[in-house]
Amino acid sequence: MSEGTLDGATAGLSRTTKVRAVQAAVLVSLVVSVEVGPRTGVVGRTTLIPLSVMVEELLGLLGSGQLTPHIVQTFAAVFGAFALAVVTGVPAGIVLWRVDTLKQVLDPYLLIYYAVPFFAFYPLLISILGLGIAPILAISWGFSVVIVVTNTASGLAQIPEAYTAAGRDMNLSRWQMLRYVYLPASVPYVFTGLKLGFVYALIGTIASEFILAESGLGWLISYNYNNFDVPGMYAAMLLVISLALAVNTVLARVESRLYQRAVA
Amino acid sequence: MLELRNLSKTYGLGDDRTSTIVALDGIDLTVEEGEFVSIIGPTGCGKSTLFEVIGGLTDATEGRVDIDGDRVDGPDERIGMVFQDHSTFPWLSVIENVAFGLRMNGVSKAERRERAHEMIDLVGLSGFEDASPTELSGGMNQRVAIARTLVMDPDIILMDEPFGALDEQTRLIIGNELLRIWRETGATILFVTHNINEAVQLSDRIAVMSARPGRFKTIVDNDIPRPRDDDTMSTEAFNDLVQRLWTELKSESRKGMEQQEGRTVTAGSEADS
Repeated sequence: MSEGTLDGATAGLSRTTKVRAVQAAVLVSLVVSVEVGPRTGVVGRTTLIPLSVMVEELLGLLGSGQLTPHIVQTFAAVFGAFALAVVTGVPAGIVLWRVDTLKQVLDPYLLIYYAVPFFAFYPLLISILGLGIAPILAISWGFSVVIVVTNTASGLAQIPEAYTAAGRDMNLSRWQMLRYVYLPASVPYVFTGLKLGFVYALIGTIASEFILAESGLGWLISYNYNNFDVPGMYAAMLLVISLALAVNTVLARVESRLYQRAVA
Repeated sequence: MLELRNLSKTYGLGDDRTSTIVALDGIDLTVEEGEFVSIIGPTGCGKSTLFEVIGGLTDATEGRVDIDGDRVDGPDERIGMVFQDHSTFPWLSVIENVAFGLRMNGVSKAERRERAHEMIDLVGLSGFEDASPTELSGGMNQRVAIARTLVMDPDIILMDEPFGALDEQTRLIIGNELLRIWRETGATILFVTHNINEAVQLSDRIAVMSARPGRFKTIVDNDIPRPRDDDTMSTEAFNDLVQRLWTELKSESRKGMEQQEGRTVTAGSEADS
């Protein structure tokens, strides 16, 4: 068995290398085509600009400080909504997992939740919460929290019986069981929820800013688009994408630190 | 000394608990200190229920469990359990897994490191302290699980098919390792297995359980001299004992299978009506 595992590991390693190589190739060709496409005229300059120009524009705007208020507003909304989604969603997931009746009642609603077009409610949210950051926070939180709840609940429900039996055998208190067995065991699922939750909060914020804000990166993208400022639009988009990737990377790091897994 | 006195366990079925299943029915057994006793029985005979009751994870409907005359009532530090498989925590390293119970019980860091190291040595995993269980084979993971239980210094160790998920060769090797650990620690072990050869290889006595309701049909002394090595397993005495146990078990296994099939049929007819 151990020899089989070793063989599997070596085969896996070369496979991993191949997969990595293809992934790198896809990324490079993407970067190259975004750079070369507009330069050669294959794609019109009013549609797409070279990546290097986007970066240059972004750095220029960042340096001049013009972006700062928009960044502050958008980051505050995204991180605020995400933080709210975590502090409400994780405990709600724990409750949902613990209280069977509640789960049975809510299951069908949770299932269709993301089928409901959230942004269709924006007039309602404006009339309830007014303009400004409140409706944006509410939409982003609402868009993000449910995926955190469902992943937390299903992650806790999928913990192998053997972990909990071992914990009970060692006479753990209820709190120790939750803190040292259930929560760490559910980390891979909870973090899938957190990673998605962040992206949903970001989508919620940017999309809300398109329609109900007068500043922020979402508003800026839409404003620049309407004013034919293609480089400005792409610079803001690039910043939003970078934010999404950076936070995803950080969350993945935290996850692997909390849940030591064999480094693939 | 572990004493099981007239242990019985009845489960209620369905929402209203009107029908019941008798999982255990009057189990009596005395295990002397330092003894290695195996329990074999057909599928569904209540072996795992028996262990949960002894370990204090489930209450018995009737009867009692005593260690040296002192009643076991809920999870008990005098009893350590090793489970079938995949019970090591993948989010902790090997040494953190082994030290886990000590940490939960407030043992100082220095002391738990020392005791964990000692146990890792004992189960032959020196050098793997900082590895993740996900990097280790199934057999090595079971060694971690054994060390995690041993470190708590229990009087009695309950092992519920601990090698059930391992292939035959690994099972033989780790079985020999378990015997060495047993000798070195002088532990009292109660061991559940499906594997008759394994029971004969390891134990002083072997209890054969009947099909449900679970009772001990017979308890057989294993006089095959120790140490038992690989050659022992090809001796006549070994094979005779295996044969004898299989004869005892065969009719029970058939009954167990019929019960399981019967249950399926009943469930089907209920659904029809």
